[in-house]
Amino acid sequence: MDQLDDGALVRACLSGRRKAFDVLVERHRRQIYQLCYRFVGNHEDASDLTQDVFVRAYRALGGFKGQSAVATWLYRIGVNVCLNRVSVKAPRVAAIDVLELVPGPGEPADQTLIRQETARRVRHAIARLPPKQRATLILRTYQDLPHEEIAGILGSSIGAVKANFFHALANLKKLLNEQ
Amino acid sequence: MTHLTEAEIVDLIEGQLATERWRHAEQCAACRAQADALAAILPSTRGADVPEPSPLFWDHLSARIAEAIDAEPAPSRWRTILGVDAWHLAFATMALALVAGLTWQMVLKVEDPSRRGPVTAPVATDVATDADTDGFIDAWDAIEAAAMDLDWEDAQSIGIASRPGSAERMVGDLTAEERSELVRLIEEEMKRTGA
Repeated sequence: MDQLDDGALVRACLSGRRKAFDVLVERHRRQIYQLCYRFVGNHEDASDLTQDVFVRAYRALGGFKGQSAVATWLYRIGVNVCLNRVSVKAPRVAAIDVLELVPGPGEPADQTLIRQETARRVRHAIARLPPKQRATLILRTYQDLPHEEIAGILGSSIGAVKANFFHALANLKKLLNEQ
Repeated sequence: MTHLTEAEIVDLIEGQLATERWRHAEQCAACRAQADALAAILPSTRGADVPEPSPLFWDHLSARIAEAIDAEPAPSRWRTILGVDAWHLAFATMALALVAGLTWQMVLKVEDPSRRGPVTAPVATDVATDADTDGFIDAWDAIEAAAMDLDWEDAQSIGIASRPGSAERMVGDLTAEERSELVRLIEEEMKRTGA
């Protein structure tokens, strides 16, 4: 079953092969977890949200028409789940994790610390952006999605996506200068 | 020439600006400064990787998701399309069909005044009425049994539940004669049940 493409796995799952969904989870869990982490800024909430995304995807599997890639469809669900969450709960950004402090190859320990502190500051600033700006910035900068695809996921026009991206960068600059 | 819009500044940063707007971008220091300031933020955002969780985390996450999925009903195209369970819909359809059939039957039995024959004994009419009522009760029992497992949300989602205020609107549409008959029936029922 590992050899099947995403579309075939969806069809297999709809025909009653429940294990096909496990393969989809294994294939996309990292991207969805990272998307959720960037929204909420901490591991616990990101794990809960990732689970929620896949449960919702499973429930909605019958409605997947294959017009977009499974990954894009999952992103769309992920963004909606994250937007719903951040609208009711302020993000709680984690401090530097011990795992983050592992130096890169040939990197001095003090450089590692500076790099990780910068990363933490950026994550913290992103977590303070208004939800739609945050979603746009995450999808454009980290998931590398084109503006058209982001517009489809967020249900906005391409112009609105670009304007959101503009304001996200402007606000991020302001927030990073404040810190 | 007008300054670049926010979307055009983004296009400029990403090297996608339309050629006809390049001339302005080249000549306008304000637009270029704005684009440069925002472009300078991008490298710092790209460095902010998500911390890699423990290697054990991924299997743990998959197990959690699998457990949650096992508690869900199997996905189906019909359930997603209709938004309700198929068997709920079947019950609701059966109930609607019974109501429609019964109503049609009752309409057919209403005597047309222009075709009314000689006056018959009241007893005969009473017997016919009782038979109709028995039929109605049987049909109602069948509907009740069929709809017993239909919950309120599903009934609403398929449009067979009453909407707020619909009873008031219905009473408002009754004639004075019908309203007094309704009051009489309610009082009679209240007396009978001791309410």
